[in-house]
Amino acid sequence: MSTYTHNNALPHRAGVGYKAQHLNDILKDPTSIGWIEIHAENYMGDGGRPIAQLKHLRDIYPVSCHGVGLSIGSETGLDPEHLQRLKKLVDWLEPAMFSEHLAWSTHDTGFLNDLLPVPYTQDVADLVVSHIQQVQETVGRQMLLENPSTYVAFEQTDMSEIDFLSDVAKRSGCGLLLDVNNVFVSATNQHYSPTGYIDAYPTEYIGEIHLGGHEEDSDDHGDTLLIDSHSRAVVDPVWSLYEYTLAKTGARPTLIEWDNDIPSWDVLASEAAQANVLLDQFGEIAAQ
Amino acid sequence: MSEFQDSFTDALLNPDLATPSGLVDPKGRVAGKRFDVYRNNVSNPPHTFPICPKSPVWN
Repeated sequence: MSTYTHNNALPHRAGVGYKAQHLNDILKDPTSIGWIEIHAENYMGDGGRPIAQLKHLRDIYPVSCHGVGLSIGSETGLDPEHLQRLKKLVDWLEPAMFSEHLAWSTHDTGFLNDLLPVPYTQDVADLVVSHIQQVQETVGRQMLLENPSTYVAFEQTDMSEIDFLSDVAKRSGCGLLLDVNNVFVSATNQHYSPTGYIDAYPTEYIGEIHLGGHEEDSDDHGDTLLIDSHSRAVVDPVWSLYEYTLAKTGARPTLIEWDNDIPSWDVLASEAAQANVLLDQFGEIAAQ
Repeated sequence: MSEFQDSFTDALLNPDLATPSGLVDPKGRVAGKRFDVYRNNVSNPPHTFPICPKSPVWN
């Protein structure tokens, strides 16, 4: 296993997913957030307004680069052209963090526009480790792997998600991105305890935390089915789970994700402020 | 795993096909509507989610 220089640390403050419609508001009060996150695939072109804005913002904030298209869990392998585009972006942007999802989204020559689940087996863990090592060798830095929101279970799964993530992180040298909303969504959908998940989570690998909103539905049998949507404010049970997490980890860089039905800047900034209240509280505890 | 992603992809793109075998809910019942979440996301993606073709160029 190769060891990569750790990413530049993000501040242990709240950041937001950058949306162009918020640019002017952000620049009016740059201190309202500590960092921004961008989706890598939106900045893989050579020019245009998105790149111009990002050039400006990277001089103000640490930037976390979050990929949505590598398809880490794909059996058909990583797309070498996509990987080279990612390397070009990372070389230029020099992000404070780079992260991707435990998911697959490519198959043969097609791209499926979702983050699709994988069964938790040793064979799949071996595949994911191989792909992460390929990514890290290409971009020359450590990546973080994000836990998914899941809606289905696999009969072939033979290890827990925690054991899977721990094994992958240990063998690949990657860090982990803990999405607390995803924990709540999956725990509800799969009928396990979200606090039990946090208790078992290998917190030493956490490089970043995500918070976001979800929608509520029901399955064929009337059981609650939560859907990760990034379209609403963080709900109270997720804030509580976040607080429970910080009590174990101390303050960690925390992103507010809001990608659909995007609100005004004031609403998004208030979510970041709420996270900062907890980060202040638990940052002090961790420092004692 | 190969057969799994083949059947998963086929069923994602063809709603007339049954839910792939081996996909269940926590009580071991056929995933059904739970699998449809993925079908819906693939066929009707949220407009702001990055839509990434195999070889994207973003400008």
